[in-house]
Amino acid sequence: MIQVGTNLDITDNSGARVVKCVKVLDKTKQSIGYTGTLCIVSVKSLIRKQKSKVKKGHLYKAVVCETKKMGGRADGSQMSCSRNTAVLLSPQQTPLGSRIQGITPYELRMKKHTKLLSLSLANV
Amino acid sequence: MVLKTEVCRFSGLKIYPGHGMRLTKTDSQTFLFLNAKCKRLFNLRLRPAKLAWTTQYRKAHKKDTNIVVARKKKRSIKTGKRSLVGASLEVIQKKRTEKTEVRAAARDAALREIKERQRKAKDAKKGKK
Repeated sequence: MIQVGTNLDITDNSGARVVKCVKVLDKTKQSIGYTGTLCIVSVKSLIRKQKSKVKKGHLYKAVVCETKKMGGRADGSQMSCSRNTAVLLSPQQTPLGSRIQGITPYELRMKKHTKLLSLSLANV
Repeated sequence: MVLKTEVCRFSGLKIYPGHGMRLTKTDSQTFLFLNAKCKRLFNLRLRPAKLAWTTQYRKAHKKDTNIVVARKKKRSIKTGKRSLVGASLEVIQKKRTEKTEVRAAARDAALREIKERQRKAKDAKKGKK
C-alpha cells in the first residue's frame, strides 16, 4: 500500500537509492498504490553521485514493483515482499536504468510495462 | 486432466491452483506456503522435521511405506515324468540314464554311415560319365 509520504527503494541502476512518494497517479478516492501503479516521486538519496542519471530533490515518474502488503493475484494465490520497491521512468514512461536487480511481478505485463520484465533478473 | 501443482516449503504438501502464499526476500528468494498455518510456523522458525503432520517427519519415521506384498510362488516345471506322443515313459527314462560316451558313439556311427552313402553316390556319377 503506497501512499503519499511512503519511502521506496529503487531497484534499477539509474543511480537513486531511496525515493519518497509525492503523488499516486490513481483515479480512485483512496489513491493507494499497489504493484503496477504509477506515482510521482522525489529522489532522497543517491547510490553514486558522479554516474547517476538522476539528481537529488528532482521529481520523476516511477512504477511500483514490490509491496510489503500481501495482495491477491490473477491465479488466486497471494504474494508479498519484504520491502517496498519502485523503478524510475522517464516522462514518456520508458525505464531510465538499463538493469533491474530486484524481482518484477507479472502484474506489470497487464499495465503494459513489458520492457521492465525483460530488464529484470527474475520474474515472479 | 492434470493440474499443475507446487510443493509447500514448510509442510511439503501439494499446492493446487488458487491456493498458496508467496513471500519474496530482498535477494529475490521466494518461499511458497500452502496456508497461513505453514507461514506462521515458518516465521516462528519451527523445524518441520519435529512436527508429526509434515511430510518431512513422516518420511523420517517411515510412516508412508507400503506393506510388502508376499512373493508369489514360482511354478516348477516338471518334465520327463510322463509319456509323450512319440515316446513312452520307458524310452524317456532309458535316454535319461544313458551316458554321454554311448551317445557320442551312436552319433559317430550315424555320421559315418551318411558320409559313406554320399561317397557311393559320387562314384556312381563318375562311372556314368
